Amino acid sequence: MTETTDALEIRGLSAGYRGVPAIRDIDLRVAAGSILALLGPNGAGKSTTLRAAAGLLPALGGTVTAAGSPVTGSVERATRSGLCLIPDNRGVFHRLTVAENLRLAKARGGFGPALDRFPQLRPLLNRRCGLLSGGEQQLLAIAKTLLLRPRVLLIDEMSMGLSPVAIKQILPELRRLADEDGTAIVLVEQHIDQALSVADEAVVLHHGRVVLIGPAADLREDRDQIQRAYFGDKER
Amino acid sequence: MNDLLQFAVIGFSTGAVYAVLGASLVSIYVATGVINFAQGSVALWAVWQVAGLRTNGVLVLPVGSVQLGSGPMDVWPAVLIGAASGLVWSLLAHLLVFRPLRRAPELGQVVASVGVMLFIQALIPLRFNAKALGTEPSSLIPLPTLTSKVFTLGGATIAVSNLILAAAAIGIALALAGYFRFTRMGVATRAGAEDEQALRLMGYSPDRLAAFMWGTTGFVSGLIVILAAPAIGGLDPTSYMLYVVPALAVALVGRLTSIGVACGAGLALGSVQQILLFLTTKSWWPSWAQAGVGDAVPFVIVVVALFLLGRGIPERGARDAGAQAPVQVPRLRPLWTAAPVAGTAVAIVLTTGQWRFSLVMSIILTLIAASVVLLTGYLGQISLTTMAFAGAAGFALSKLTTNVGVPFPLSMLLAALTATALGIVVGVPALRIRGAQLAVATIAAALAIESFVFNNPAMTPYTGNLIADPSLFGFSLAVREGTDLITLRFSFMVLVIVAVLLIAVTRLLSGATGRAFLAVRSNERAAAAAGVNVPAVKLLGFALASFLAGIGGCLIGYSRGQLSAASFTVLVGLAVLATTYVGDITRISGAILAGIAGPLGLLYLVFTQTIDLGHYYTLIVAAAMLLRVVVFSPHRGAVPEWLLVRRARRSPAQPPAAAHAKEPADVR
Repeated sequence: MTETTDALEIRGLSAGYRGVPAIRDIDLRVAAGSILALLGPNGAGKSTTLRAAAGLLPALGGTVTAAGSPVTGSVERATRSGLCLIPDNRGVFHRLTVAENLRLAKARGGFGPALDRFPQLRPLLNRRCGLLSGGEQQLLAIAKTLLLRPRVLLIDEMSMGLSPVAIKQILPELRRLADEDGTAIVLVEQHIDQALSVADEAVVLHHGRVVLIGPAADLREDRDQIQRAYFGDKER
Repeated sequence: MNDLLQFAVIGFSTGAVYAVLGASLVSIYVATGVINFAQGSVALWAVWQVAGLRTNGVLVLPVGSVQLGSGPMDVWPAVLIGAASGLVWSLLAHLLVFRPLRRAPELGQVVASVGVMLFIQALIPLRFNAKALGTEPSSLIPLPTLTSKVFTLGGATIAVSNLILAAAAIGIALALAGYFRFTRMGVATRAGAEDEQALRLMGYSPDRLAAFMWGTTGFVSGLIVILAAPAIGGLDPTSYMLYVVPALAVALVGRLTSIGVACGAGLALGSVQQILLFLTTKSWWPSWAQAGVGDAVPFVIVVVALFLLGRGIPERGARDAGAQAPVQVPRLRPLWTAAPVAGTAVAIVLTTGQWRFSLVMSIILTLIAASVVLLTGYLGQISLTTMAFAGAAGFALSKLTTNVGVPFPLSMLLAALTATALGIVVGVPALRIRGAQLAVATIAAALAIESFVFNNPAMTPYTGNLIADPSLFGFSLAVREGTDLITLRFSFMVLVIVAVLLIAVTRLLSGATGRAFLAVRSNERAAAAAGVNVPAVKLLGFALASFLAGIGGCLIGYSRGQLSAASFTVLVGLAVLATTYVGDITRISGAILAGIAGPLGLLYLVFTQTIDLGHYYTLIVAAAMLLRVVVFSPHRGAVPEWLLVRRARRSPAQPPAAAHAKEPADVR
């Protein structure tokens, strides 16, 4: 991973709530076309990192650069510049139909490309999103975000509430997205095995700090290292 | 049958206003989650603007005025400019008031919209004056804009203008509904109602979508009221302002989501009111129900709609229900209690005439404001019926003392218990609804009580509702004696009653009942899970608040010698809510400040007698209300979020263990 191919670069990022930092001095780099798994126990600061990177939380310090441009100002601007976040509640609108959800993406060619990639959604177009299964909702969340042509995609707790079958359907799609479109993906996950199976690199956070970085393939083989990181042993 | 058809069509003029205001209220609710009580006031400014332009071409602005042309302006340019003024007011309200409050609790938003409503209503007579208009404002009339042609249908005479108004209302509603259904911005606006954060993550600015909707609804509300004004008559600021009540009723029928239903219900309500007006002229119609029936219909609709649909009304996804104003649990300290009572007693002795009268009015208003503190500040029930409770007690006191001869203090207690019973009845909807919807139900109730009871000639003799002077064991406590405007005996009686009741309220709020109130305010489900009987606590709150307001109403009645309906109007009730919120709606000390600043209180006397700014009183109170809620909002806590972030950026990082210790406590 070289500096010139970094789609996302986070340097010294600190953020928190009511002025109290929950993450401190986070440094992350994700290359175009690669997947970074962001791991850690509850309260480690994984979601806070994503929210701060996407502009949902005001940063207390540090910088975020997406595709070479600094991410400043509102979350709307970050989205328009290609840094997109799928939140842990999936960010789909339950009272709208699937078609209306997709229409929101303001895509130039309509939402056809999303249906080409996820044909499972085609028969559901006129169904209210609230009536979809969790897996279908997650597919819709990814589909409508893809229409925004993200260069960096942040996904928070993708597998929350999903069956193992649904997760197995969605993870390869993420890999395809990274490989075919060159999208950089940051994946926050509680299921370590699943995250490492699809990721190129992994980072473990503990108490708001990075305590472990390494290639996903290596970490898959060395579970003790991850276990120690979850308990806060710093081995950067 | 011909008559019914004719009156039904006549009702389209007011019905069109209800329909468009209702559709606008629905649209704003979808876009922002705000129930905008100021919608009628925005339209009111537009009507006056057109009247000014068509009289001598003067464009009146909030500050200054501009002469457009040398004489009266033509109809349609004036109509367009008038409707545009509605757009501008709506946008200003969004940018300056509601946008900063988008994550505020409902109480803050309701108070803000009431503040905007009072502000515009108070500003109109000040700005549209003889100097600016070049003629007396009383000579202004809303000149016709639509055709005066009529035709006959089945024996009924139908005015074409009424059909045009109905068609215009339907057209506006279709356009608004089409926007939400078929345009991407409209779909995004609906999406934002569900989850604002997710919408921002799709690259939309909910604020811009909201601004578009505020501007559009301001324009169409102004337009329909301008077109309907010649038919619905006059330029009375209060009646236009209160058109928002039936409009809220029809918006609720549409579950605050359906523009089409709100429009249809608005047109139907206008027709029903006119048909009822026609039926009241019939010999078989009971005489006691001849007045105020039309105003009672919206309340009936609100109650029925809320009972049937209350839980089906969606809430805004972005609101932070936990961000409520902190409450300081009151404690009785002998010195802090005795000192103000003694100070007030000395002030009563040292003052005379008008000043002592205003001081006593301030004491009475303190009691009424304390009922607002108890019900709204402590229990979290946004009720706008406080002065209606007070008036109902005063009304009952008049009957009890003059018709039945019940002696003091039993008469006052029975009258206050009458208000208590009314309070429990009005509180029943609160068992099913809360927040701004309850505010809608209570303002509709207040308007119905005002029209159906206080202003009903059948219930008020021509001599007025006289109230016998109080006396105890042969000792007169009358307010007047000879040329003395207010006696010491009456003043001390008021002071003793109010002090005893305030001490009782303080004891109550500092104990288990107060804690139950706070639990219900904070989270009804959690309170129920903790063993609090939520319905009982709510009804107890309404009962206590209406009792306090009822005693206040009796004391106002005694101070006048007869009941004056003008003392208990919806507007006075809103002013009391405003001053209580400015004082601090969660503290008894806030009630004392509200008493001083309230209508006819000491501050009012200073405005009228000392600095000659009586005309500006309502405007200043409304402005103070808006400043209090927008700039110095109690729910934000002592330090704003942006300041905390700036501080944290300057100071070194703190250990994570401190994160939760810094969270502001709801109760301190």
